[in-house]
Amino acid sequence: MPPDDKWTDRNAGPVVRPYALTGGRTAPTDGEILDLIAIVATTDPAERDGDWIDLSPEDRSILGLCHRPVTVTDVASATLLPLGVIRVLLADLIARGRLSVLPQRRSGDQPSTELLKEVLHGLRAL
Amino acid sequence: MGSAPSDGSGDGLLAAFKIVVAGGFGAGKTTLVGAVSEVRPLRTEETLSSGSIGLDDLGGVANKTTTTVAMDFGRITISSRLVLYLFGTPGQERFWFMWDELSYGALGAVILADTRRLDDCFPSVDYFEKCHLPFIVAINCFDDSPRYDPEDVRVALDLDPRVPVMLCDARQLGSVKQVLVTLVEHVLASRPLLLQGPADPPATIAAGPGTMPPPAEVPQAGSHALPPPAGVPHTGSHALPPPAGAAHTGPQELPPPPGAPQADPYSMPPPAGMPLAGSHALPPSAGAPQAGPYAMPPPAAMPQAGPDPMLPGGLQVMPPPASAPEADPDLPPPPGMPDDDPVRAGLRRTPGN
Repeated sequence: MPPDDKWTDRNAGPVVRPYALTGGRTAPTDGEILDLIAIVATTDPAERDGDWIDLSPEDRSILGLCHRPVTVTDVASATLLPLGVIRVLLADLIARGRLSVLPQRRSGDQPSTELLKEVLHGLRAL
Repeated sequence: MGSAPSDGSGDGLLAAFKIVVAGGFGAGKTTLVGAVSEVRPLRTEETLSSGSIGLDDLGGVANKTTTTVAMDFGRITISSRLVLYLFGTPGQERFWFMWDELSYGALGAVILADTRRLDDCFPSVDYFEKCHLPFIVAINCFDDSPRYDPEDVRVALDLDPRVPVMLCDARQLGSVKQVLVTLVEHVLASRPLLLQGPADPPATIAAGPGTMPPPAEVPQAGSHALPPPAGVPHTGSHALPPPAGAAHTGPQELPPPPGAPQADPYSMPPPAGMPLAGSHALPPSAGAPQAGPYAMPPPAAMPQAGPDPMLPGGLQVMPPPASAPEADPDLPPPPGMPDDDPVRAGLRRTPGN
């Protein structure tokens, strides 16, 4: 690696401060905080060929991940961006109709016993 | 406390569950998450710097040179439509604000306990009791930590008798798997109660967790310490090297606050150990009558009671009520039983405020 490049070494961390990507916002504009395991997906299967010209590289990589339903955590993990940043970016994409959140249970609701048993069987089979 | 964002109605849809892995600083949460996760945990181990001195108490874990500053997460794909996430809570007190977020909508919690610093997991127990999240306690068996009977830990933590307490090795997939299975079974077993509402009114929980009588009137100076292994008969009766006093140096260095009822267990340093071995009469070790029921296998061959060939890590799950020893005047009352003996009560976790 040329000496000049050492500041962009991966280990050096992001060149730009994380919240520069959100315009300095640390919370979604609409105030809705996405849960860690909320599931998002692109609204339109044809999104792949959609008009991405108004999207930042981060938005594009997020949309690329969301062709199939993924959790917020997975998006943060795959993009290596902080969770707080990802939440803001996802909320923006949702507000623009690019992404949708899969229907969630209310927090007081219980997952069905059948689903829990499925989890149990899956764990035993690990 | 439901945790599935999706009903899974439809093809390829996900239902995601999350399990919180809590415990004190250095209890092995990152290791546990890493043992079962199919993705590299999003760990952010940072070298402990001088800035952590005084903040990150390394008593008993002096070799720890890194700590987790971001949250750990691990992922287990149950099926094409079900995914289980494990989130490790930050162990340091200054990150407790994240707990609400991690616990929101969680299926349940695993509290990892390190018997060298058992008091570190008191806040976790308090927290999950207060938010009525089903949890189990897994005692991480470090190579150099004294072995305690799960029931002793149950008493020290003042746990509801229904809460499973088990031994585990956070490094072993089989062992961690059994921990998670135990948790989900516990969640399923708790469901009828949850659906009917909390078993106890919140006021009761706040006053004294579980079914234990609130030990408020009992002198609490020593409530943050396990019985020292030296005074515990069943450890002495085995070939285990009696854990030296060093194992407890952390908690015991501070003098007990003079009769201070733990005003705020979330922010106070552990009030220290206590003059426990001698003055607080534990069952005398001479007869060791309970060596049988309490028998702890030596570290090398942990799997003993209820051996499960599927478990390389070795596990001993103690169903709460089963192991109550036969009535013996010298024995402490079975865990979970109302207990008015101030000596025993003094060993307990202070109830959350």
